[in-house]
Amino acid sequence: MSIEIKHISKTFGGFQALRDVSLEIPTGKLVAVLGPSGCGKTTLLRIVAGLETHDPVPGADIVFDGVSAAGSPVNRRQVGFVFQHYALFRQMTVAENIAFGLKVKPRRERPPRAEIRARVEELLELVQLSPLGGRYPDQLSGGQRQRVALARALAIRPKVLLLDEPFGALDAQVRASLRRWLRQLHDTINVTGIFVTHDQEEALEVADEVVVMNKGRIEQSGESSEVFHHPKTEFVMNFLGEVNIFHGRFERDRAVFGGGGEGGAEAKMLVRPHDFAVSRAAVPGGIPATVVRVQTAGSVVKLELADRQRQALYVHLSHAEYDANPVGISDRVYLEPRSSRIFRNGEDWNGDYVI
Amino acid sequence: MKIFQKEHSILPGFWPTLGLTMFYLTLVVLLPLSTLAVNSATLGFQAPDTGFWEGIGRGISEFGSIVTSRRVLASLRVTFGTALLAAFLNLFLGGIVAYALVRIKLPLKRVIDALIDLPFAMPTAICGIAMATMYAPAGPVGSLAAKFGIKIAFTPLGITLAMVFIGMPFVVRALQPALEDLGHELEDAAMSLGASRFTAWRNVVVPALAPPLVAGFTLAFARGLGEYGTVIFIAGNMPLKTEVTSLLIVTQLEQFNYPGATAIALAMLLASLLLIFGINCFFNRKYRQARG
Amino acid sequence: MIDHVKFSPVRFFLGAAALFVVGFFLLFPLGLIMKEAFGRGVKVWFESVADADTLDAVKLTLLVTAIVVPLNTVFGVVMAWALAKFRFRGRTLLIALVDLPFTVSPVVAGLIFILLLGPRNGWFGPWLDAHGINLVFSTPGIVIATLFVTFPFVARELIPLMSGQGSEEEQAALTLGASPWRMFWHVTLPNIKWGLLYGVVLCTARSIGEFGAVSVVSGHIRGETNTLPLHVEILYNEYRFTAAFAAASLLCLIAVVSIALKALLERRLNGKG
Repeated sequence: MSIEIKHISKTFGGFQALRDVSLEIPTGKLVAVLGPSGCGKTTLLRIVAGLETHDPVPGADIVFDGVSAAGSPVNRRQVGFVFQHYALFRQMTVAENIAFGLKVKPRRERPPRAEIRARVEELLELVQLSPLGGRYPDQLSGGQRQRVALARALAIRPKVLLLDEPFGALDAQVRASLRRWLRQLHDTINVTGIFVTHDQEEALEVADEVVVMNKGRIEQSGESSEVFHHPKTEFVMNFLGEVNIFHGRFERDRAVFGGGGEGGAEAKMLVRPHDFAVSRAAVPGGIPATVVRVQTAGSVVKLELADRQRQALYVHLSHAEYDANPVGISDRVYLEPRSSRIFRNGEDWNGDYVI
Repeated sequence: MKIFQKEHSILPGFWPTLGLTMFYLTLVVLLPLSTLAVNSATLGFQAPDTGFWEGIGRGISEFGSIVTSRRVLASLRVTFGTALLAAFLNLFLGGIVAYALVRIKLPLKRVIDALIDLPFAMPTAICGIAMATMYAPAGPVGSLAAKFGIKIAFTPLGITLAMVFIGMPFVVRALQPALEDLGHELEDAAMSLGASRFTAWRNVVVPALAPPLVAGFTLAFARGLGEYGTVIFIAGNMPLKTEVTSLLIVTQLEQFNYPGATAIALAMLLASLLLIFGINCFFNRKYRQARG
Repeated sequence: MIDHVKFSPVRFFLGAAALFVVGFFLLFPLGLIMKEAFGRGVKVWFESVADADTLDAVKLTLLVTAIVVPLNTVFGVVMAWALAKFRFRGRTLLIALVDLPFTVSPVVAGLIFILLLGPRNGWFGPWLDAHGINLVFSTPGIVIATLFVTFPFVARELIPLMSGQGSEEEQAALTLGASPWRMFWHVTLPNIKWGLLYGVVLCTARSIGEFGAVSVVSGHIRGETNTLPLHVEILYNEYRFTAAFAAASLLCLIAVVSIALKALLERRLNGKG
């Protein structure tokens, strides 16, 4: 089932959480809504679920498969919602939790008990918790609880699966493995899904499409690699992965970094740590810097340097690159950005620049 | 209904349940309480054709004269005095019991713990006759006390002891969770810094316990002030000597002196509200400074 | 929490003192009532209890309780739902109002209802009188006064409980397709069952034992409408001590049962919640 989010705004008291957000999610796609705390992503998710109401602006609507959801209360929308803190029914066993959605269907629609039991078994197997059907939520680990929450949401065969920071409350190891597991699950089940997270690694890894939000607006949306490699705004680039920021000024048609260019508008150049080449000799466009720290323990070699303005710079090199030219602390080197993006007022800007 | 503007929530049933809540509260709480206020206000309007301000003025002076009559003042003295004393006694006695329950290995602890609620669960009239029997000159405790020349029944002492009985659960129940939370850390920390156990207690533990102590004290005190059933059997109820205010109100009602009863009730209500408010303020300020 | 320290005289003394306090102030009065009630033997006790007036008093007490407790329970749940699961301006004030009957002396409570409903000067008095309805000095008056006095118990118990549990489980139930009633029945109620029971036990104990307010509202005039506590007072004032204590022992029994239930439920509440 496809989801169309049209011109959604939401104000809480004096605070505007969402400003005219529009988004289309085609059937079967898993979309990550990514952003910092307070950007409105959870609010958006809850509005899609029907757990919040959007501002009654003309043209604002949530459309499922071409049918407006307006007037459809949350318990009629057939969305599967997975809460950040699971919200499992503490007085019910795991099996009873999963069966809940089926048991509370109106009599006409309710499947026979045997069928419900079979479906619960099926789902327990899907989430790999088959032996735990008789346990209570407080007897489970965080990761297990989250899987029960997912199974419970899937039991009603929802048209849409919505996950609110599903792995936020779990520790790193569990998070990593559940991430992979969710991806595989989606590949199997193919239900349209939206999940909300503030962890950019998670978003890029799990989702087909990433939507980056900031302050109630969508900054950019698109395929993961597209958004990562071609960020349209400074915020997006900064949020997805590490960056080094260089400040400069615009002078006529050029952006000037490293001094000069007085009086122009502020320019920012953002370079990813792995987009630098390090050389000992001066190169045109090279930024002089002194090595402060070298960390070789890890999958990449991480260098911390200080430039002329004493700003900290971070460079990642592959071990091969580093071994070809090993630098040590206090060495003076020149950093050459192989790929960078320049932003003016936060927006992407293409043009000449001088360092 | 602007005043009840609620934040977003899609949980069902807000307006119906709020409506019912308002209905029930108005019927069972607001309406009854406002009669007290309004009836007191109408004290001055007894005579027909009384002008508004005239009535207010007369009402206030009526109120004043009722409240400052000898009998009423005496009853207020007796009631407040005994309730205060009882509350203080309870701080001490209740404190011991709470400490023992939390920190000492007592036999049958669960039973004792449940027993603390007895005065709370027993009907006040039953408490009253128990008190009367216990402390009567012919009763087990009363006769023992008589040997030492102490008279308990029909004196303020008897009233106080009855109020101690009724107020004990409040202090103990207020202290128990606080003592449990406190643990040994504060005591140990103070002692590791060189204080003796007693000093540690005095300067560290007791101030930390101040809020629940005050809470328990206030509850016990308030309960003692309004107590009727427990007190009337043992007090002897002699006007000016051992008549508590609640009894005085009932007496006025029996004589159909509604204005009098209302005025006294209002006076007692106001006095206790002020006192409790004052106690809370005083201690909040004192210990908020200490907490920093 | 117990200090596992060596035997110390101070602690021994404290423990003994605590036991003495409990024994003297709490256990002794209870024992005294039982002794006075059964002092002349079980047969006499039984006769006192089976006395017609006493039985009438028991019946009235039970009737009042049977009306008051369900009403206060239902309204307590309704109020707790409105006040605990939602945030709105004026909420704190309403919660304070719920606590109000607790802080008022029972005698004042009774007085209030006489002022409201008394036939002579009451606000609604003349109107009620004209319609032949007699609310004070009669059973309905006792019910109303007891309603006022016991009303906070259930709500006070449930409001912090439901507040603390939040509303996520209810929201989850809704997303899974439950109707509001099913959500309440399958999710909310099971979560509050121990708190609810606890509140009901307290409410019941208090409504059986209420004396001051009922005494005032029933007119303190000896007549047909006496609850058991009132009846005890009458017997006592008529120097019929054994009978008084026999009736009192019944109430004591109920008190003991209720504190036992309370202790049991408390453990459930703090354990499982």
